[in-house]
Order: sequence, then C-alpha cells, then structure tokens
Amino acid sequence: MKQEAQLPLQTLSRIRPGQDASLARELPDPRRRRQRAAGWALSALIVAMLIGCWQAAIWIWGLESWILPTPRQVVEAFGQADTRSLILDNIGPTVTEALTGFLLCLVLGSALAVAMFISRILRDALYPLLIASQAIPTIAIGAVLVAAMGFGPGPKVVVVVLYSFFAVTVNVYDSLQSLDPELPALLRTLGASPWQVLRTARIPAALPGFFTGAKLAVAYSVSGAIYGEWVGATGGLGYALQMARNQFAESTVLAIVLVMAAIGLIAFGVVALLERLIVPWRRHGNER
Amino acid sequence: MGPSGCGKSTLLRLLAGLIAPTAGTLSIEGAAPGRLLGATGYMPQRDLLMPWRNVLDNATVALEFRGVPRRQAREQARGMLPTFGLAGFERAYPAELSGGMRQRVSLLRTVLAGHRLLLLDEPFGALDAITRADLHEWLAGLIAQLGATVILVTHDLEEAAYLSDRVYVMTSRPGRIAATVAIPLPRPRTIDDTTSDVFVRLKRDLIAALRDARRPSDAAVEARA
Repeated sequence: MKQEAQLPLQTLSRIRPGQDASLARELPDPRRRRQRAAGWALSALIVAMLIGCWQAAIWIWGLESWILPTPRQVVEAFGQADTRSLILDNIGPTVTEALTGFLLCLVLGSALAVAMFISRILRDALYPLLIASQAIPTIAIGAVLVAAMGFGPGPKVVVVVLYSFFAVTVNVYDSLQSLDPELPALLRTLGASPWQVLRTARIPAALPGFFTGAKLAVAYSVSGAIYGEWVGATGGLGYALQMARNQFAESTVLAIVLVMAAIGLIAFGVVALLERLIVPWRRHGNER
Repeated sequence: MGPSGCGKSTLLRLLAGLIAPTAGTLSIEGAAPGRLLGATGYMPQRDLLMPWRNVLDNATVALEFRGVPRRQAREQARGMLPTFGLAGFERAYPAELSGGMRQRVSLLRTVLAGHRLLLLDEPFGALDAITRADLHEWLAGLIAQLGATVILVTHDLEEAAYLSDRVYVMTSRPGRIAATVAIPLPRPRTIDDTTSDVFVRLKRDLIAALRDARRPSDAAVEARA
C-alpha cells in the first residue's frame, strides 16, 4: 500500500457534470400517504363485509348461538368476567412460548441458511430434509413431543421453531445468494479484508431477506404455539380455546380467536417497525 | 479497445489483482509482483453501489476499510461532491439516483481510494449518448486535476480518441495488442475538438486498426450475419 501517495483531492473544483438528477426522484410524500390511507380504508371495508356476511348467514339460515354466535355476542363475550379472566390468565404462556420459539427460529433459521450458503455439500444434504420437515403436520409432531417432554412449555417451543424456522432459512438463504458476486471482489480491490466484506456487504445484503422471513415467522409462531397447546397443555390460549369449546361457549371461542389474531398483528407490526428502522434503504426505491 | 471478448476486462481484472495470470508476472511501479489487490483504483462496468448505503457512505467505503475515522472520511468525500455533480445528494440512496449519477458515485468511490493508477472498465457504457458526452468532458478535466494515470477500457471510438493519449487496439483469441495509435491532440480538449479534421482522421485510423485486429474468420461470420 506504499505507492498510494495522497492525491490533491481537495484542489478539485469548477468542473461539474451535467445535472441529470431530477428524473429519478421518489414519489412525493402526500401521494404515498394517501395510498396508505386508502389501504387502511379498504382493509376496514373488507372486515366490515366479512362481519356483514357472518351476520347475514345467521339470519338466513337461522343459526343458533351455540353453533354460530352473532358478532354482537362475541363482542359482549369480552365484557363477561369469566371470559376476560380466561383470556388474561392464558395469554401469558402463549406469548412466552411464541416469543421464545420465534427468537430461537431466527437463530436456527439464519444459521442453517449461512451453513447452506457456505457449503454446497451442506446445502445438498439439508435442503431435502428441510422440505421434508415442512411436509410433516405439526400437530402430529406435537403429540409425540408432548408424550416425550410432558405438558410444560418445552414441546410448544419446539413446535413453534419447527413451524416457523423454514421461512427464515429460505429467505435468508435467497438474499445471501442474491448478492452480486462482483461486489465482494470490488470491495477487495478497495482494500477490504474478508471480515470487512462480510460486515459491509454480506450481512446488510441478507437483512431484507431476514426480515421477510421474520415477518412470516412471527405470524407462524403465534399459531405454532397454539398448535402446541392444542395437543396437551395446562395453560395458554390453545388450552383456553379447548376449555371454551368443551363448554360450548362459542362466543368465547371466537373471542379467543380474535385475541390470537390481534397478537399476530401486533407481533407483525413490531417486526415491521424494526425492519423500517434497521433496513431503511428498502423504503427507498422499492416502494412504489 | 478491442472487439467483445478480446480480454479487455480480463486485463483490468488482472491489473486489479482480482485474478492471477496463468503465466508471467505483473508489477506496478516496481512493486513486488502479485501484490496488486488494493494497489490500484478499479472501477467495474456496473456501478455496484450498495443499496443500503447512501451516496456519502458508498463513496467513503475505501477510507473506512483503511481505518480513517468516519467523520474525517465523510468530510473528505463531502468536499468532492460538487466536483462530481453530487452536491446535495449525500444522503440519497442509489435507487434514487439516475444512471449517470450512480456512475459518478462509483468513480468517486474509486478516486477516494487514493491510487495514482485508475482502471476504468467501460465506465459510461450503459449511459445515453448525451450524458456520456457530458461526462467525457468532465472526466478529462478530473483526470488532469488528479494527475492520475488512467487505463480505460472501452469499445466506443469517440470515447477512446477523446480521452486518451494512446490507444491500444486488442485482438481476440489470442488477446494481443495489435496496434498502438497515439492521439496527439493538445489538452485541455473540448467537445468541439471531436468534430475537427484531426479528430476525424484519428477516428478513421482507429477504425482501420480495429478492422485489422479482427481475424478474417470473425469478419466473415459477421458479414454473413
């Protein structure tokens, strides 16, 4: 590196290339905001239509409330003390299991992706196994796990990991692959060590895929935890769901389902927010 | 210059230390042969800007690798943005820039690495004719100010004649230097020079050299196509 005598960089002046900047600017902000508002409105409309269909079905076929409660009865269920305490008592274990499993699946999923990216042999060995693991119904595995590991949170976490790691692995692997192989070479000519290449190019390039995987996995994690509880548990929303079903408290069942959906949405929102903070370049250019 | 596939880019990649020669040695300014990686300023055909870094952070990446404090590196790059027509765009991401601007960020990144030998591989190949003509004039001025030696790969006659002091014409299979054409135009040159009689004659010489450089079989194939 000795021959790189410093160039008189600061002395550069005057010469300016043509201004060709104006063409590639982003969509103006107000327009984007209006798009987003329209999206929310449409979302609300779809929910309203679904509720309308639900209510209409009850009227048309005259369904009894122990078969299908009305939307109103479901909302009222939230006001009942026993439903409320059933939900509040059981929300903790589900969230803990889902969160633990989710974090583990991020680690395991990314590690598998990196292993498959580094070694062709590992990729050839692991890919069919991973696909096979996804073909197994989680419920079936859950039953075996409960028999082996008992009614504690352990088997639920395992089910969550099994259910959600695949999304992370596939997406991280894809984004590792998608990095232009010329970029690491160029960075080497700019003086980067292999470690600096990893830090400045490979990890940032993998982040969008990591978050795509994480957004899928976080939703899977909530349903995974509930699957795990379904098979055998002493607490959790899946357990609460079973209890309510056994008592034919259909409005409570649906209230619990709504809570599950809300947990999934909130968890997704948190991951999406983290994505916006950590992967800000995704918003520039890709979003149209 | 040379026909596609004659090894122009391979030569630059060899000089940049990205690939090793199968035979012979390469040495720059008398340095030990084989230590070329990181000894030259290499700018590939595509800009290869990192979409997760803004203009400033893309440009300063070589300084970052060398351990220059971030603030100092940014200061140095910021001072050069006006020269590169990027003033006010330091925080813009590559996706927000036009092709010409991206190419200039890429060149700034190469220049900031601080080498006296620059290897430019068809730097303006993907740009439209007008943008390219502007950038030629600008690049000629920039190189003069940097005092750098530039090896430029191109298949654009005009670009070669306008920017160079000497044009080497390569043949394909095997990749050899078939002809050397000196460009005695005085500097600084302007875009008006490209329509002068001397310039036109130089272009004619280059065309002739390129024709000769093609093997007869290649010419026959293309004539049939």
